[in-house]
Amino acid sequence: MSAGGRGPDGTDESGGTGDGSRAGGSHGRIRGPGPGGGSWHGGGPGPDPRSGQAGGTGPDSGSASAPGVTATETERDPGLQPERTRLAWRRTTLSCAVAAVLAIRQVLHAGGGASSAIAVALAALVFLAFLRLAHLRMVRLGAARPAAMPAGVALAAAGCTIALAVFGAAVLR
Amino acid sequence: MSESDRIREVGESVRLWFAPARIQQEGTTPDYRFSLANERTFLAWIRTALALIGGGFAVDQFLTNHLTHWVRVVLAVCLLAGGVACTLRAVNHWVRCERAMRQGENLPVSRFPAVMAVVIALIAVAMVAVVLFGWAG
Repeated sequence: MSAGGRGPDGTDESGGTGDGSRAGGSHGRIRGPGPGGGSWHGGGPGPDPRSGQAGGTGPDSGSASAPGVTATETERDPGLQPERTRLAWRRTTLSCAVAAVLAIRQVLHAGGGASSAIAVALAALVFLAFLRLAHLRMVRLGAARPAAMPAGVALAAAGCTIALAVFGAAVLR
Repeated sequence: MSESDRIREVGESVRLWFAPARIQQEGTTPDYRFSLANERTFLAWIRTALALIGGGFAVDQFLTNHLTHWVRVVLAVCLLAGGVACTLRAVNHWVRCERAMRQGENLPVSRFPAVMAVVIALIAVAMVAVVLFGWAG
């Protein structure tokens, strides 16, 4: 595979850095519906030594030289950036859960009644909204080349956080 | 920078929050990995805000034996307000970083982290003093 790849356009390939592992990368470029773990390592030992130089051989430098190389280069991300971003969303959802649970605990300690039931429902709703937001964003991050976060998502996440704070101020004892 | 400049800048930022399409018209789309890194930074600030808010709840719920009512309320409100400030700053910083990357400018610098660190340190010292010296109710 790698010898065949370098034959026709040897000059283009050697123009980039680490051409051997890049040819290996073309193996593992199908990243969509297949078994996730398998496709990442389909290129053999390629991913590990390359993760450090992710910034240097970005898609920009690839697109400057040869479009064919760009396709193989960008469809698998050596830095696992979408994965890390997805985990960051998970951590944030977990933090939101903790804050929401503390808010609900606060209401329950204050006493029962219809108003406290409504307050509990509101806090749960805020958490569910954040959960849905994070889920939708994580689905979008599954794309080969995820688009930047829309400003609406940022505003909605900020809205959930501020809603919890306002809620907390309202139910302070 | 004069005061009116700063106010205009804040107004401009807030307008950008609600007109995301305008950001996308400016400059060129950066490498998506940089945008994702910016998103993770935003999420880290949101987590910080959530932690402050959770701290506000915790002060109100768990220091009942140590603090008089008003001290508790003041501390909790301080922490909740810090959480809100942190959230607003997270959105603002994210928008400004995104725009700077699109236009190839330097990333914006900010004194917010230092200010927040000082404020949190003050709150922590105040809490330690209050609990240690037993200004309890």
